[in-house]
Amino acid sequence: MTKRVLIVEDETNIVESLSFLLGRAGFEVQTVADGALALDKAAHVEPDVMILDVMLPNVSGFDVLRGVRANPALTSTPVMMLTAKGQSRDREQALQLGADVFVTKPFSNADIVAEARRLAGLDG
Amino acid sequence: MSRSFAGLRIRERRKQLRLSQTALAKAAGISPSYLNLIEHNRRPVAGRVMLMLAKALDMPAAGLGEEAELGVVQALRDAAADLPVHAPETHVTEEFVGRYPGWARLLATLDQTARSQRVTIEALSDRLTHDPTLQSNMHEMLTTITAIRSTSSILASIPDIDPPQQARFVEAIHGESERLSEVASALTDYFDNAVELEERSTTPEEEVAQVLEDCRYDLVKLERGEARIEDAIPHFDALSTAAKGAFRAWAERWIFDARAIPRATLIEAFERPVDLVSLAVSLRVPLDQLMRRIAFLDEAEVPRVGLLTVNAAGHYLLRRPIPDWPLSRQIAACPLWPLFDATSQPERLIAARLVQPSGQASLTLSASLRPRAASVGERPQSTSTMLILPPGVEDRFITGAVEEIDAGPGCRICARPACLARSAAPIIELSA
Repeated sequence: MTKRVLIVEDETNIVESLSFLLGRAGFEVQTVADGALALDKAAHVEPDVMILDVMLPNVSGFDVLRGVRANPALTSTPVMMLTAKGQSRDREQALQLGADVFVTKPFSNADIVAEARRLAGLDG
Repeated sequence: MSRSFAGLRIRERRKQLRLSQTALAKAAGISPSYLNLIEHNRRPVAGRVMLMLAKALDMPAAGLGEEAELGVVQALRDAAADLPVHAPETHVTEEFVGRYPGWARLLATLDQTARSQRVTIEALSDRLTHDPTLQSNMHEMLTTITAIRSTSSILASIPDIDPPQQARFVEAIHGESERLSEVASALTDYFDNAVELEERSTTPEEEVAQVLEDCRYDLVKLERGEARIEDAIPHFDALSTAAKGAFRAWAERWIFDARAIPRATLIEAFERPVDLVSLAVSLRVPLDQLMRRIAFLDEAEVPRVGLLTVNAAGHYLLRRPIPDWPLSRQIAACPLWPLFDATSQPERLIAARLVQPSGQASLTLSASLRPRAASVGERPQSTSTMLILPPGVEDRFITGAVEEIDAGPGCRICARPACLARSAAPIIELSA
């Protein structure tokens, strides 16, 4: 069965490349660019993995993550957070709020795909 | 103190010329025993004797006791007080300066350079931590680099991409490259202007602090009622509207303090070491008012000290920085500073020596007053004040027992990795 990934990211070109990579890796890819719309989208899509940027318009990635963990239907959804390199506080906060893994920007494509596969249970 | 240098110099020069004491004494027209006393700093040398000795030693009289060396002695004493861990032999400071003036000047210059660089580093760390423009540009740059790296990596590693998709990726790289150029250009401009930005005051309080430092707190006309507040400082009109208001408020409090504690009274008090608590009682003024008056008075006879007043939330209300304590408003204070202990022990003057991660140590005197409401229903506000005493003025104050505290300049720029009081990660990892 095809695994679904929801990318919550407002940078168009990063969304484009991630969509291409994850689609090629066998995922069904859904995207949303606004933090305020992310929870509704996630509830609708019921993704197997969420890739969530910290810096989003209107509602931050941390608030989206809080909402995900508070929603019984999404609470166990694996979340990969994208944080900017050097922002150690962001990483700490992401893990405290229940992110499964964080990847720092600039990231390597191979790391993103490998983590997404792992979180979706496609490896092992 | 100058006689110390003169004695040393005379002895050194005499030995250099291979003259005996007897020979030099004869040439200078004084007795060998008197010369011996001079060389061992047990008699002052000046006037005609100084001139005769200088002539006999074939050197200018000024070279026997330069006042400039006094500054070097003080600079070395300051350096020794800052880094007592090395246990420098301070009892021979004058002899060291007299015997090896070049090395002494070098050491003093190195110490001053280190101090200056420390202040600069703290200011730069401050900027890295709090400057919204820099943070925004850095985030933009990382985002752009991420897009370029990811997209170009796809193009480089995957050969069978559909031409339309390939074209979109190429277009994306082009667009992101232009964006990166713009961000890089903005960052370059930012750093090019760094010096100007550093000097520019960014808040009304900082504007006021800057004009007060520029006029060296010389407000004696204000104190005598010979000038209006608006005329008390040069370029009042150049201040922003908010800064004008802040300066008026500051000046009104300063006048209030000046009337309560006359300048002459303070000068007289500092003719001997001062017990701040006793002095406040005898003047019938609150302790923090006395501390303010001392810190905001530039008077040769009154020691120059730093001051920080905070409210219960730790926000800076009043400050007067000194060179090693910039007291930036941008950096949250270190919770280990004793002025925070003072709030739990109102009316008590706490003497503590703060040891910075660099080993630099400063004596501080902190006090908090029991807050009082001025009217029914008013919630009294608690404040604490700390005086920071540079090494050269410590002996002007009676301190009682002094606690030693390992503290820092504020978590974001502090290099104590294992500090239990740490509440924020350091922006730059410095070796402790």
